[in-house]
Parts: sequence; C-alpha cells; structure tokens
Amino acid sequence: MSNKLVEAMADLNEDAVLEEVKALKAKNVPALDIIASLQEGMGIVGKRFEEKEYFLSELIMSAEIFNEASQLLGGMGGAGTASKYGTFVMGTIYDDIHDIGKNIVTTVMSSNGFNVIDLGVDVPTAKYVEAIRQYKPKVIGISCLLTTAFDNIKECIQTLEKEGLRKDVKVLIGGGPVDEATCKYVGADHVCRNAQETVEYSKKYMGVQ
Amino acid sequence: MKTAEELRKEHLERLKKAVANEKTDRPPITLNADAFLVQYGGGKVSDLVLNPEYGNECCIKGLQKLGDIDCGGPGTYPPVMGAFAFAKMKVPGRDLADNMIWQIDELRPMTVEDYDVIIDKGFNYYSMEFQKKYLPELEKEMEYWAPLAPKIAQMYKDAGYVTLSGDGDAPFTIAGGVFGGFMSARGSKALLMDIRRIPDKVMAAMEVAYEESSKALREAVRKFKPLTVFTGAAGAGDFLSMKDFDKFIFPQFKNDVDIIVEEGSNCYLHLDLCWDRFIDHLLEFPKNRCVFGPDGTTDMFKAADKLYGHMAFYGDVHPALLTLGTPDEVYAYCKKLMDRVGDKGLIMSTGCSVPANAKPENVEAVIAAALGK
Ligand code: B12
Repeated sequence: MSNKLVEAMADLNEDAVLEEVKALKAKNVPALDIIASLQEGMGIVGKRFEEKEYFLSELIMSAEIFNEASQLLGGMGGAGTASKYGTFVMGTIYDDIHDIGKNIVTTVMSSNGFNVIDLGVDVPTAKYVEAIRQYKPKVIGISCLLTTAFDNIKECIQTLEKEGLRKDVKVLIGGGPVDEATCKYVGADHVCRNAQETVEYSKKYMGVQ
Repeated sequence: MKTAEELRKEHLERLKKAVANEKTDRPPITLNADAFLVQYGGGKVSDLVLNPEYGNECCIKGLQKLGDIDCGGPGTYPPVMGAFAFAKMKVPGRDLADNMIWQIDELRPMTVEDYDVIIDKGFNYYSMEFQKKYLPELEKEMEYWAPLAPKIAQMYKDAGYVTLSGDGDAPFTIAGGVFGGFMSARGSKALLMDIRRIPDKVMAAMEVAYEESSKALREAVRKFKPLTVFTGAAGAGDFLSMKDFDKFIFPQFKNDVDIIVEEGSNCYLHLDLCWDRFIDHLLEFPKNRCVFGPDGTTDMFKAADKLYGHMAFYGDVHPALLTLGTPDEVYAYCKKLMDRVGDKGLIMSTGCSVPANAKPENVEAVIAAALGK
C-alpha cells in the first residue's frame, strides 16, 4: 500500500495522484496493488462524505481522479478489476429525463469497483430486460424524479417478474421524491438516498463485505 | 355573489398581507399546477400546447372547481419553457402522448473554452448564439406566444385571480441564479469538476454573467414593480461544501435579494432541493420582505424554528404525498403547517409544482385545510 497515494486520493489531489501512479508503475509495482491504494483512498472519501466533510462535488471529483488513474494502468479492465464487485445496470425510467442524480450514482459506482452499464434516460422496460439478459447483474438501479413515472417503475418491475428475471436481481430505486412508500408501491427492494448508500447496498447485495 | 373584480381585490389584499408577513383571515392559496389543472378542468395536457387559449381556459375551470383559490396564471405554454435551460422541449400532442408531462431535454453545449467566450462577450451573448444555432424553432415559438401571453394573462385576471410574481411581464432572476444557468449550460457534473479544477476561471465567468443579470434585474424591478420577484439559487442540497456555497452561490443570491428589496419589491425565494444546511444564511435577508418557498425537500418545521417571524412561508406539500398519500394525510400535513406558521404570513401551496398525476382528492384536501373546512 502506498500511503502517499492513499492520502493524495483521499485529499483529491489530482496531480499528486497521477504522478504517484506513474512513479509506482515505473517501479514495476503491480497494477492491482496500485488500484488497492486508490480504492483505500476512495474508502476514505466515502467516509468523509458520510461525515459531511465532503459533498457531491468532492464525490464526483474523486471518481474522476480514480478513473483517470486507472486509465494510466490500462483501464479498469487492464488492471483486472473490471468486475471486482460485479455488474450494476442503471437508468432513468421512461418519461423521465432527470439525470443529474443518475450520473452521480453511475460515476461513483464505477470508481468503487463496479462494472456499470448506464442505459441513459427515458429508458423503456424492454431495454432493462435486454440488459439484464445480456449482463446478468445482481443489482439494478432505477432512477426516477417524477411521481408521474412511479407507475412506469411498477410496470417495469412487474415485467421483470413476468419474464422470470426478478428473482435474480435486487432492484434499487432513488431520486428526489422517491421514498419508502414509493418503494412499496412499485415493488422495489430498497431506496437509496445517495450515491454512497448505493455503493454500500450494492456491496451488501453482491455479497461483498 | 362577488364580481371578479371584487374577488381579485380581495385576493390581492390577502396575498399582499401574507407576503409582508402579516395576519390574514386565512392563508392565500396558490398552486403551480398547470398539468394537473388542465386535466382537472376537463382538458388534456396537450391542449396547453396545441391550443393554449383553450388549455388555459381549462386550467381556469380547474381552479374554479377547486374553490376560492387566490392565485392563478399568468398562463402556460410548454414549448417556450426550454429557453432558460439550454434545452429542447418535447411536448405532449407533438412529440409525446396527450396526457404526458413535457420533457426538458438539456443540450449542455458549454465547453471549458466557452468560459473565455463568456468572459469576453458575456453570458447573454453566449446564450443568444446558442439559441440561434441549436434552438431555431424557439424564436418562432416565442413569436407565436408573444401576442397570446397578455391575452391569456387577462383571462386569469378576468376570472378574479392574482399572481404572486407578476403577470408574465415581471422580472425573475435567471432560474437558480448564475450558478443554475451554468449548471444547465455546462451540465452539473462538469461544472462541479470545473469549480475544483479551474475555480478562478469559473468565478471570472460567473462574475461577468452576474454583472449582466443583476443590471437587468434592477432595471426590470424598477420598471414593473411586481409584488414579488421569483428568485432563488441552485446548488443547495448535497452539491457543495459550505465553503464553496459561500463562494459560488450565496453572495450573488444575497445581492439579488438586496436589489429587489431596494427597488421596492419582495422576494419569492424558490428553493429547490434541501436547504436544511443553509437556513441560517436566510436570516441575513431583510425582515418581512421574503417568502420562504421550499420544494418539499427541506424540513419546513425545523426551518420555521429559525425563520418564523422573519419571513413568510410558502408551502410545501410534497409531490409524493400528493400522488401516493391519502386526503387525510395531506389534510393533516397542511393543518400541522398552519398550526405552526399559519397565524401570519403563510401562503398555502405545494412544494414547487403539483404533479400531473396528483390525486384530485389530495389537492382538494390542501384547499379544504386552507379554507378552514
Ligand atoms: C434539476 C431539476 C430539473 C432539471 C433536470 C436536469 C437534469 N438533466 O437532470 C430540469 C430543469 C430539466 C427539470 C425538468 C423538469 N422537472 Co425537475 N427538478 C429538478 C430538481 C430541482 C432537482 C433534481 C436534481 O437534479 N437533484 C440533484 C441530484 C443530485 O439529486 P437526486 O436526483 O435526488 O439524486 C441523488 C439521490 O436521490 C440518489 N439517486 C438518484 N437516483 C437514484 C437511483 C438509484 C437506483 C439509486 C440507488 C439512488 C439514486 O443519488 C443521487 C446522488 O446523491 C427537482 C427537485 C427535487 N427536490 O428533486 C425537480 C423535480 C424533480 N422536477 C419536477 C418537474 C415537475 C419537472 C418538469 C416536469 C418541469 C415542469 N414543471 O415543467 C420537467 C420535465 C421533466 C421530465 N419530463 O422528466 C418535480 C417533479 C414533481 C413530480 N411530479 O414528481 C420536482 C420534484 C420539483 C418539484 N418539487 O415539483 N427538472
């Protein structure tokens, strides 16, 4: 573990992170070890977010730095960690185009070791079905900011049921007006209030401690 | 039976008192509810697009059916709503099914290089160039709407309604302040990274944009003197640390409020997202000249512990409660709010907008609570 790298990552010092990754690489430190340090740093970022020392702006920046650093190591795939925790499929439900929250969640999830498939906004049920068949995720996420689209999530989850796909995936939902009552109404498994919580729940559902 | 003119006078007096944080016989009621009202009044959401006079007539019928509502109008025409969001509009009746809510599809054209364009030539220039290039249809829509807007605003007046923030000709600050404008133009993720990577550049461009917008604001308030100016700031919630909020958001927000008050108007603080962390800031605004208007996300009761007595309240039934809740739950929420802040300066409303699919009986429960039924 490189303390210097862990610290630079935790402090969001972009230049220092990139320099240190290059230096470690030049010293032939294995990519996986470098990634481990970066992830240790990301863990601290997550903690600072929970403790309200960091906010979404810092969370997004950390994800960006992490992604840049892993590019230097040949991308997440190159580092052999592409699906360290498995695949997470996510989109904003059809009729809804809000994507600020969704983009934060996907960015943070991918920098926390998940292979993220982002389906975009205004996503029809058929696209979720297709993505679940293709990528076999254990967890999917549906973002929704409009009460007028609650019935669409409900329809989507019912279709997953009909298609025999529901029992193998946990469905997380989130977005401004979504709450426990919504979760119950649409038949999802859990509501996450923010990106950090999404990381925690997905880890739990994917069996990562 | 009161005439429309008498009703309008009564509504205006009540609203003025509430804005000034004074006692009223009952809270005045305002609903930002176009997509709900048009249906409740017998039309389709697409009527607002395809035949705005008829669509707005349906909204008025909807208001009348709900009871003695104080505010209504000045009128809705969805195709022009994208103008401030650097967005293409998809609207029901054209791009979407009849009773679907319109979509505001942000194009996020702004690049890092564009900060320099804004610093050199201004944000107005930048926005106009964008509109010419990417939203050519908007100009035609504006031309179509320009002569209709005053006509439709008059329909609401003739039915006895007043507006909180002017009749469509009144000024409002760029939605969400300059930060909000940049967020739409650049995209929130990119902007949040820019303020960490190139904070000085972002600040320089924001200052240029603010110079323009604050000048326009002062001129417009002086000219139109609306009861309140629709103002607010994006960037609340969990986006920024307090340090960044104090640097990029609050100074301009505070300055807008000062300008509006200096020019003799009041502020309707339209506060998107959660303001729990920033309530103390609002105490810096002049007393009895602002209306605190959260969107259902901020804890209204905790806010009241600090702001009650300092400003009026607007609020703030949550959209999910209006859609999934029961009339009893809605009524109970409104009563609780009225018990806490209702003896003066309360404007009864919902958080930001009434969802198109709110249960009619839930909206009726809001009105019943406010009318003391
Ligand atoms: C910004 C905004 C817009 C922007 C969207 C920009 C964009 N590209 O996304 C614009 C201006 C374009 C817009 C448009 C509209 N909007 Co809007 N908008 C908002 C606003 C103010 C903030 C949303 C936001 O970005 N929040 C910031 C992010 C970071 O938070 P978040 O999305 O909640 O995401 C976090 C968590 O919730 C969670 N999360 C989110 N999704 C998911 C998903 C999963 C799986 C998980 C695990 C977690 C998770 O993690 C995120 C990060 O922490 C909300 C108000 C609100 N209180 O939510 C209204 C709001 C959502 N909008 C609303 C409305 C009505 C509209 C419009 C219809 C406007 C109109 N009245 O004309 C249009 C059309 C929308 C459409 N058809 O889709 C209403 C919806 C009411 C309702 N019916 O339910 C709201 C609630 C405002 C209100 N109180 O009335 N809007």
